[in-house]
Order: sequence, then structure tokens, then C-alpha cells
Amino acid sequence: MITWIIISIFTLITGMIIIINIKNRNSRIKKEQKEDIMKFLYKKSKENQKVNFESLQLFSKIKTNKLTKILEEMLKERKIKYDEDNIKLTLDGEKEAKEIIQKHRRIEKYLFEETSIDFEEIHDVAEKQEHNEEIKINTKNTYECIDPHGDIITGQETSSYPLLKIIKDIKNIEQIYKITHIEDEPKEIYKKIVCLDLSPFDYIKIKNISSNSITLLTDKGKIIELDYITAGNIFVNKEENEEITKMFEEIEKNITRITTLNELKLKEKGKIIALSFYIRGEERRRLMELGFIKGSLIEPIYNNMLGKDPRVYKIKNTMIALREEQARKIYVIRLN
Amino acid sequence: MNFQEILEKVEKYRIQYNNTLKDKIIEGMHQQIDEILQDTIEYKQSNDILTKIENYIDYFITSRIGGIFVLISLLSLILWITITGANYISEFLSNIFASIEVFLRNSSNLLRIPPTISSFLIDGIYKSLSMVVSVMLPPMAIFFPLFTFLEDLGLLPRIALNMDKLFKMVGAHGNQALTMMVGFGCNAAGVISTRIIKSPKERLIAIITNNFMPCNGRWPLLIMISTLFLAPLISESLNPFLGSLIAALALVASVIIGLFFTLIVSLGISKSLKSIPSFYILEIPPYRKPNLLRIIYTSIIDRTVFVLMRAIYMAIPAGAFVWFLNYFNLSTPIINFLTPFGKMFGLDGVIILSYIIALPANELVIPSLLMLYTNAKNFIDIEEFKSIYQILSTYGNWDWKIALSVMLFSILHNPCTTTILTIYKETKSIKWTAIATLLPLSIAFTVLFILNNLILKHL
Repeated sequence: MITWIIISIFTLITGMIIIINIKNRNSRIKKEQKEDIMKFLYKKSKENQKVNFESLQLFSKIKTNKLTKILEEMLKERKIKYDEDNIKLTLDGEKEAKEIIQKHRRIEKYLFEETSIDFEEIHDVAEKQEHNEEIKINTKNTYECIDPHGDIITGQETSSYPLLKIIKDIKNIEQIYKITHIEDEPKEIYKKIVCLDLSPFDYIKIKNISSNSITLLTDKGKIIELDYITAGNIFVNKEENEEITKMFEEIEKNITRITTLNELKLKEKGKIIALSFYIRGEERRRLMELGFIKGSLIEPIYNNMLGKDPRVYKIKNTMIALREEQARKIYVIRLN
Repeated sequence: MNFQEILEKVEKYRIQYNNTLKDKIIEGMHQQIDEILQDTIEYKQSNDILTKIENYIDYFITSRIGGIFVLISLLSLILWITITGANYISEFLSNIFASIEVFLRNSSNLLRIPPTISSFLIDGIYKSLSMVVSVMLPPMAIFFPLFTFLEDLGLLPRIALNMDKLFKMVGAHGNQALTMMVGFGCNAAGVISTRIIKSPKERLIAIITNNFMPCNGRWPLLIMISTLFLAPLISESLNPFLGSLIAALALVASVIIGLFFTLIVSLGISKSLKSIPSFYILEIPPYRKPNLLRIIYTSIIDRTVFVLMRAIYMAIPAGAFVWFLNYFNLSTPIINFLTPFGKMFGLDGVIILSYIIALPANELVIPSLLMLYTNAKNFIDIEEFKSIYQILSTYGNWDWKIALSVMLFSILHNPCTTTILTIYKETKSIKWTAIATLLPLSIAFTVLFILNNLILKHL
């Protein structure tokens, strides 16, 4: 008798726990879906595109009756409104959408600076964690204001356009642009851009436009050939600044002498001109502390017993060993 | 201007400078420092001959032949000096401890302390304490000063540089080679020495894998078992030269096994740990004249005494535990309980129990094995290999299969409690301490299970 009572109480409790868990999970999924819908609506409204039920369903991939339910709830919460067939965010909804986007950017910034997660994975992690209520972000703390893709975290979207558009106008050759934003989706293309070491705030000069690719010169003295798909993921703004024009003239004059640190031969002296944007966080701090800054003289002095990786460099009267992939991200100009 | 306004201004500057404000500030600081240095410091013209010699040494060390030569010769020299030198000091210490023991027994008789209590204090606590000190102290007191000497000379970072490629393949830091060498002396000291790795992720890898290097508490077991049980496999009539050669080979083989597992585990951890920052920067110091006082201080105070004190804290409860087991005749039921579990992995109950007893220090494995097989009342000293062979083969039914399993278990099993405590102090995290303890143990059991049930069974 007693055993039966214990067993029944036990099953009751486990059943309740399971039910509560399922309910929690359902409400969490619903919250994520709502937030994704708000982000989508916000993005489309910024691009001046209209959103109706069908396009929303195409984006969110939720079943019709479920989506109707969610939208009804959001209507009740006064987060969205209907404008004839089109769905729009209310002021409240817009504010919340902005907050979510900000949170996403801050998480990306954190992951970029404080972890060793691969660059192309950062977006996915941030996409998951932005719905996590346990991550509280102090909005007063504005000291980090630009995310790894070049967006101002708290600010409005800047008016920039993809590199792809420039190609249509052949007059743009020899024109200088500044990269303002790099799109991190899809992953493969972003990875390619990172490998080419193109980063936000780089200046680029268009050298040649052909039928399937576009050649450009970066402010680190690198000549890059981009295909059209990749070029569509890079957003730029025209830059008309005397200093920058002069800088590019200087670079073009010395283009044969500019290289990366790993390309220097032993005993060949060089001067650092830039560190890549993708040397990040603690590593960047340490390198700069040790003197890896613009203008420092550097000289590879010897290899190790197994080859060129890592190699010892002499900088500021000290000897520092760096691995090849780090040296590849440091740009130097050969001195004669 | 209030705080908020300042922040807004900073944000404006950041955007204006394309997010390179931090870089600009550091550049400015360096510029200022350079200016000050130019005004205040005059560099002495460096001695040409000396720098030339240093350059030649560097070229020799970083050349392919020179690098390998320096690495192997230094390592074997240090090990040889440690093993031979430690024997003498160990003997000397155990003599002193034996005379103290006599004195303690006499004085407890004089003071009329009840025999149970005096037996507990002397046979239990004092014996295990003196055992740990006399076995653990000498190798450390020789190994660490030698090692610190090389460190002070500036030679070790160059060895780390040479070894880096191997560790880069598994996502670890070249300096891990150095921490592993310290781990040869003692794993707890090896864990402390990982402080030379500045990158948090690589440091954690080095801490967790340090245990796979057989420390000098495990050498005696590895050497003894390989001479007793593996050497006769090749020649029945134990030629002493051949025997020692096989023992040396076995030690080298166990280091290679340890290295293999170090690399595999490093790879696994570095692939699964991405939330911790990682970077590689190795500062190569110039050659220095070693400072004797500093060497003595860092090697004796920082390393030897530090580790020894922790070992002593851990040895006392272990000694008490063994004494209780034997005094109340509890060991037999426990051994019987553990035997089926041990048999699964090619071991037996006595081996498992002695490894549990030897949690505080790996040195305790051999004495507790012998003690449990013979049902002795306290840790006995190891004198004759022949009699040990008789004890193990008659009471324990040992053959080369069990011996091989014990050797593998010795290389791969969990770190001793001293090391565990050190890992906790260094990582400040229960999670990583638990992983560093249980991961090697589960690897040890898995390897033994596979080896015994799939391979040794059919031989």
C-alpha cells in the first residue's frame, strides 16, 4: 500500500516537472520567434520594404496557424500593427527590436575580443545568445561602441552600399572607398573575406573592374581580386580626403616593398606599417605592449630547428618569437 | 562636464578614429617612452666578441642537428644526475629517519604511552611521513636546481621555440614542453610552472595534460616492474646489462606513451575550448650569467619545499588510513570487494587498493602493494628486487600481462592529491580540477579495458 502511494506520488512529481519543462521550452521558443520577427520587421522597415504575412512566413518558416497565433499575441502586446495587408512595428516594438540588435552586437563584440571563437562562428553564437535573458548588458557602458562588423552598436545604420553597386559605373576606377560594414552571412563568404584580411574601416582603391571580378588595393598595400558574390557582402562609402589620397600615393610608390612579416627573409630589416584588424583582444594588447606598433623597426633573426614556424624577431632590442599565422597579419615595408 | 558627457565624447572620438583609438593611445605612449629613453639612457657598446659567441650558440641551438642534440643530451644528463644522486641522499635520509624512529619508540616507552596510540603515531603517521620525505625530497632537491639553472641561463625558451611546431599541431603552446620537463620532476611543480604560459587556454591544456608525464614518484615503479617482469621475456637468464637496457627502454617507452596521450588530450581540449582567449607570443631572453642565490631560492623554496609541504599534509591522513586498515584487519574484505572490478582491467583488488592508498603520493604504490600482499603492519623498505619478485609472483600471481597493465595504469592514472590541490589553487575552478582528475583516470581504465579484453586475452 505504502509503496503504491510512494510510486504514484513519484510519477506525479516527475510528470509535473516534465510538463513544466515543456511549457518553459515552448514559451522560450515562442519568445525567440517573436524576437526574430521583430528584428526582421525592423530590418525591412529600414530598407523601406513592405512585409506581409506571406513574406514573414517565408522568413520565419513557422506553420500558418502558429504564426497567426503569435502575430495575434504580438498585436495584443501592441508590438506590431497592420497597415492594410502589411505588418509594421509600433514604436514600442521598434524600441525592443533595436534593443535586441544592440544586444546582438555587444555579444559579438565580446566574443570577438575576449574569446578564441572562430570569426565565422561568432554570428551564430550571438544569434543564439541574444535571446538569453540571463545575459544582462549594461547599456550605460558605452565604452565599446563599434562591433566587429563595423556597425556602431548604439547608433543608427549608416548609409552605405555594397561594393557590387560600384561595378556598374566604370568611372569609379581609381576612386578611394572606406569599408563601413562587412556582412557575416553566409559563413563561407565571410570566412573568405577574413582570409583576405579585409576589415571594417579599411580604405580601398578600385584598380580594375572586369566581367567577373574586381581588383582593389588596400591601405595595407595588398592587391586583392574579389569575385562579385564576395563583393556583394562588403559595404563601402566614398572617401574624399586629402590625407588618404596622399597615403595611397605613398603606398603605390612602395608597393613592391610592402609585404607581410612572414615574407621577410632572415636578417632583412623591415618597418611595421599596420597590424591586421583580426589580431584581437589579449593578443593585440600584448603585441602592442611589446612594441609591435606602426613605425617599429623589426628584423627576423633566426628560425627554429624544425623550420620557419615560429621565428624569432628582433624588435626594440628584445627577441620575440611569433608563429607564422601571426606574422602573416603584420604588414611591413622592407628597408634597404 | 558630467560622466555621461565624457562617455559621449569618447564615443565620438572612437567613431572618428575608426575604432583604432586604443592603438593610437598605445602608439603615443611608445613614442613618448622612446623620446624619454633617447634623452636619458645611453646604450653601452655591446661587446662584439660576446655577441658573436651568443649568435653562434643561438644558430647552433636552432639548427636541426644542434637542436636535437641539445635537447636529448640535456634531458638525459639531468635525468641521469637526478637518478644517481637521489639514491645517495635517499639512503642518507632514511638512515636518519630510522634513528629518529628508534628514539621515538624509546621515548614513548619511557612516557608510558599506550601501545595502540604509540603504534598509530609511529607506525601510521611517522612512517608514512618519513617515507614520503625520504623518497620525494632527494630527486626534487637535485632536479629542480639543475632545471632552474638552465632556466636562468636563458636556454629553456630556445628549447620551447624548437618544440613549438609539435605543440602547435595540437593547439598547445611550445612552453608546454618545458612544463612537461618540470613534470618529470614532479607533476605538482609542473602544474605551478605552467605560469610561464600567458595564454589562458594553452595554460589550461598544459595543466590538465601535465599528469601524463611520469613524475619521479613513478619512475621507481616503472623501472622495477620492467626489470622484473618485462626483461625476462627477452632473455631468461637476467643478464644485468641487458636488464638495465630494457629498463631504460621501458622508461623511454612510457615517456613516449605519456607524450602521445598528452598530444591527443591537448588536441581534444583545444578543439572543444573556444570560449577562452588564446595567443602565442614567446619572449626569448638574452643569455644571462646565472645567479646562484636566485637559483637556490626559486628551486628550493618555491618548488621543492612548496611541493614537499603539500605532500606531507597529504601523507599524514594516508598513513593513518593504512594503519587503521591493517590494525582492524579491514583490508581483506575491501580487497575481495575490489577484485572483480580490478580483474576487468587486468589488475586485481590489491593493486586498486594500493593506488587508492597512494593517492597522496605515487611513491606509496610499491610499499603498499608489498604490504597488502604480505599483510604487514606498516610500510616496509624496498631492499632486494629478488624478494619483491617473489612476493609479487607468489602472493599476487603476477605475470608480464599484469605488470604491463600496472605500468600503463601508472602512466595514465589520475594525479596525486598534491597535484590535484595544486591544480585547484592554479585554476581556481572545481570543474577543471575534476576534469583534470577524472579524465586521465577514465583514459587509463579505457585503455586497460581495451588492451586486456581485446588483445592480451588472445595471447
